[in-house]
Amino acid sequence: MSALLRILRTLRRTLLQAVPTILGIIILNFFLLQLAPGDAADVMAGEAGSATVETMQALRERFGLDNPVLVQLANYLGNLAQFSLGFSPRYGMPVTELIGQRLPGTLTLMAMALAIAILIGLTLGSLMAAFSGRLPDRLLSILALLFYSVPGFWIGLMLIVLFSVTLGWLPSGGAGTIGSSYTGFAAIVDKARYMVLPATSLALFYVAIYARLTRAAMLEVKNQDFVRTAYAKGLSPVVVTVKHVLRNALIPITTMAGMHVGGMLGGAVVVETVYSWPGLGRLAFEAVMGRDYTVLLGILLLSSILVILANTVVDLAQAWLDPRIGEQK
Amino acid sequence: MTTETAVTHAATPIQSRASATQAEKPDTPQWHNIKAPDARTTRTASVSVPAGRRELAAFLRNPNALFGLVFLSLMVLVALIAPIAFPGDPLGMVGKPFLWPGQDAAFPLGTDSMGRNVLAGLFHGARISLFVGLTATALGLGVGITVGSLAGYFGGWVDDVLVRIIEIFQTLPNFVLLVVLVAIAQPSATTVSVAIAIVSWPMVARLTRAEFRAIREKDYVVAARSLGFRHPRIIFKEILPNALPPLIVTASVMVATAILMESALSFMGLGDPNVVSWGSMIGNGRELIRTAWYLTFLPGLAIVFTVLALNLIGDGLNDALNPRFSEERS
Amino acid sequence: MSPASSRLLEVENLTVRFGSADPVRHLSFSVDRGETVAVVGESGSGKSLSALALMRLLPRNAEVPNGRITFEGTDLLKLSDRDIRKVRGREIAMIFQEPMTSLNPVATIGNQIAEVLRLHEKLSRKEARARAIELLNLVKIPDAEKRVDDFPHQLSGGQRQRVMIAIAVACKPKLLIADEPTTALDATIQAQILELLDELRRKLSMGLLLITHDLGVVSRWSDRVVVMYHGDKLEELPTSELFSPDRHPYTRGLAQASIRLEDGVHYTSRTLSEIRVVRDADGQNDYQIRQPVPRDLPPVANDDEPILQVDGLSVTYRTRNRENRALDKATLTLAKGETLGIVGESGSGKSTLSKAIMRLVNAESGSIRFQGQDITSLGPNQLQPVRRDLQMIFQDPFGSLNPRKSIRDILEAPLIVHGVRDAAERRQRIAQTFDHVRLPLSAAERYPHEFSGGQRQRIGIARALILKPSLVICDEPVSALDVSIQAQILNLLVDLKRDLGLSYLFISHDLAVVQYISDRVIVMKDSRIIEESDHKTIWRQPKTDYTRALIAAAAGGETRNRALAS
Repeated sequence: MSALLRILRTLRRTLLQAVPTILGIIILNFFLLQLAPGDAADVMAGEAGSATVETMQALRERFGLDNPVLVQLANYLGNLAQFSLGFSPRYGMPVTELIGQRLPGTLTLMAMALAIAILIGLTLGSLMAAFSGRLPDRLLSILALLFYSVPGFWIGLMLIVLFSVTLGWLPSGGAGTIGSSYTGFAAIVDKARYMVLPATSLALFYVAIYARLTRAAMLEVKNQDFVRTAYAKGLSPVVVTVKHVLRNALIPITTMAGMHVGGMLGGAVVVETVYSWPGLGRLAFEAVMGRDYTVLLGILLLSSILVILANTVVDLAQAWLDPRIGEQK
Repeated sequence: MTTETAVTHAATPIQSRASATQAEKPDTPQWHNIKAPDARTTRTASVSVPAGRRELAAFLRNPNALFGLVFLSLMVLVALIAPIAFPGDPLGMVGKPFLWPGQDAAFPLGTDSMGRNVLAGLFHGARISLFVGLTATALGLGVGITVGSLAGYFGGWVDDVLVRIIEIFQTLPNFVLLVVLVAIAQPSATTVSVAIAIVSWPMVARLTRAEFRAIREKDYVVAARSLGFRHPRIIFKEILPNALPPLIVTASVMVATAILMESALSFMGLGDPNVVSWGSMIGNGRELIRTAWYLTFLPGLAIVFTVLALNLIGDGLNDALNPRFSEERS
Repeated sequence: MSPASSRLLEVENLTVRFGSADPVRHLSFSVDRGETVAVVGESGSGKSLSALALMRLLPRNAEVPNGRITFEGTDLLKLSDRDIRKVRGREIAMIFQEPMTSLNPVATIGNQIAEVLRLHEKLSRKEARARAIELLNLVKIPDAEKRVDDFPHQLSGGQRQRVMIAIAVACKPKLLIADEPTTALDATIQAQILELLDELRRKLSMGLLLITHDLGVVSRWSDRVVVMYHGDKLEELPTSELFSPDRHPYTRGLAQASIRLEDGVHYTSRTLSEIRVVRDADGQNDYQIRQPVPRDLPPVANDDEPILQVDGLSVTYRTRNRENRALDKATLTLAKGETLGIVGESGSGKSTLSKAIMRLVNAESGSIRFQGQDITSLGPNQLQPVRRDLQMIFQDPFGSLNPRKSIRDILEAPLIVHGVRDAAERRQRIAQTFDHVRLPLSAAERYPHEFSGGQRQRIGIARALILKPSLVICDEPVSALDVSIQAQILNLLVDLKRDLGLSYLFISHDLAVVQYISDRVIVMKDSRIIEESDHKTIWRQPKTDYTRALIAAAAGGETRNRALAS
């Protein structure tokens, strides 16, 4: 069976499976919104400064907040079908639009962090597996465990102390020099300078995860029978590692990479608040501070969909890597 | 979505295929490829001694794990004696603000912008960190093991339904969900613990389910069924004890993760406002990072070392309970 | 002795060391060009390690403190890593026991064959692919042009082993090492693979080093035999003398303990020889053969009501998008005191049949009557008393005992579940059962991992017997055991049958074992029972082609022309 067919079949299966999950998440989201103290009317009244019982009542009627819960759920679903997540009085714009503004920032940060984490993680993990049991492995293992134990926000602050405050090499926050008119390459450099610290803070934890995972996966594969077959063919250790071990080890590693997208989104929330990075995380933080639950739950829903998308990509990558997936048994 | 083997990988990259550790059985070949009858005896020769004495010995021989254990014990001690060593509210002003560590013998780690004793904060912070870590883990393990074992043991529609639920919770990004839950429920030590448990049980459930599904097929479980054992007996006496090793390892990692989550919440101002926590100390010190960086540095160190200790313990447990790769380390 | 020029491989004084133990000690043997030498031994004999040592493929923690492996005049142990890689796959090739895992799951079989050609013969991608197809034809994989792009999981076990052989012979090696090449395969496939290996040996005039535990394989396919026990070579002999009486006692014991179809022995007429190895005062092994005296057995009571009656039993496994009829309208009866053998290859439905009778899987249709009672659809509570009388022995002595429970706990739990409340009575029942299976009572407080495979199987039998059943289903009870242990367990099962008045349903893929232990035999294929007969008739006058093929495979098929070799 061709790889393409395999991938298409996996895509169909994955998407079909995603439907009930998304539905479940939406319903959960709705009920969390119901549980939140105060409703939209309260919030709007609070924003407006003063409100009488009557105006509150009118607001509730206008937004359908006095309907039975199931009707409200139906309305909520209906709105979602039109890609509407509600309106944020605080920001004075629809939540979808608000999130749309902040999403690219977070995605760039995450992509950068993921790239750093995979690149360094794979390298460290392969090194650890190659030297397993010997000094380099032990030192790197401890280093990885240390990365694994450091809170992202703290290392973020410490990096600011070192690189911004003490050394003055890199900016301590923001996403670009305000009022600058860099173009072309200079603009990219400027952007990168602002991104190095947040991306590193976010990546560190995942560097540790991927390194440990790569080590385990490589060692696991190394012990398998087909690796012995490869050696019996007369292949050199380097060729065996690259052509036989790594390819097979990538399968579990890809799965894990996908599984951590959700975690990384969470990490971004904290890191963005540290670096005042204009992304979803900062928005979430502001929403929490302003008790703006519509925005908060909109972010939760959207980030879940992001996770589902990431999982789909991972599944496709797996179908490409592993011929046993997507097979009709 | 993502496959289930992967989840097993997540918590225990190392599964419990038995083999002797080098230290104990130097005479056994350790090439796992040898599947011939020759190797069977050696491969299975050392499936955990049930009393766990051998595992304990292996654990205590591991210097990293021992360091973790000692440090964690120290932290527990610190948490216990905090009210005696530093009676009074650690949030109260006791001295001049902005005393650097070492500047005043009465405040060996200095004071913050409000003149609060940093050392007292660290001592009392240990209490909340450990409380949240342990409570959240206990709750998460309880729910996760129950759901996972039901799904894994019974299979069929029970499994289908439970897996859907697990899937939903695993898709929601943990920390974002945590923030939402705490924001809705209003932060306190209890709600934070419960919220962390809510975001962490699915991982346990998946792991337990995978273990149960694998062990369910073993001949000794089939034998138990053919002998007429009832479900509770099979679940609790035949399967669960054999599913425990990876869960024990996961538990230590969960405590570490819970402590990290609590500190992140507190750092963002979503922790219990009435108690001092390492995270909130960092949060408070953050605006002063240019002038008094020790205010963020010190509580951070406390977090790092506590979490590191727990992870070292987790690794040590993993090596001791699932001795598959330990030979490659020793 | 052959002239020196025909000597291909000379192993002298080879020792393999792991830490403080030497699993192979001072091993010497040789292989001539075009010759098949078999190394035979049981678990722990060191035969597989010796094979790996020849290719310098031992695990990293092993060392070879002394010895010489001379291959075509070069000492392989002295070669550099780079030079030994030129030998591997080109001069000496190897195939392994597990065809299911020995191929890289993410590479096509064509690429896996081509890899070795591109490495050693520097072929271009295109040439290598063409050669790969040729090789697939050579190892008789049908449709080679199409299958060359298949992945290993798309092939059956036998086909995968053929691909392994194709990889091994790709560069026309002078020596092929086959480490238990057929152990994981069904009997009919086994014979085909061995035939193929022998044919290729002749075609390519390779030396063949055959590592196996199976004396049947040895006697049919080798010229000379090296017998190993626990790291020591006991003797080396021409295969023709393998069964002659003046061999080393261990070899003799091994030969007597292995049951061969053509010998036609039956439990009613003869017990099996058991090998005892005793280490004497000065550390020397003393090998003894013991043949228990046969005892009379009560005749099978054919006139009584049968203990088990299965009628039109069907089982279908359903997964989300697939149905698999694992058992199709099975009908059989079993008289009290009778042993009914069930033979079949993997996937024939024999295990499903046993599980359905045990009510571990639900029947789709048909009925099971046990001791006069219809148990097909009893609920758990009504089933409980039935379970006491109906017990099972499992194949894998390593997987069938809960590793976290002591032997006493394992045996006591069934008694507790079945309402034996008195602790003293439970103790007494356990002691009695230990006695039955010939285990010392001191074993009770120990844990499964402390026992050898044979001892574990005794514990498994004890667990089945503790409730005093009347029918015991034995699902491949000796398949995972060494020949010498197999003989002990079979003798034990016969004794127990007599002493406790048991009936057996004995499932096995091994025709010789079934022939020995059964009164009547059923043959299963593709989820169906295709033949049934008494134990003599079925081997002498098989009714179906399939049974004939099974017998031929087990008895050696076309025995190899020995004239060529001598």
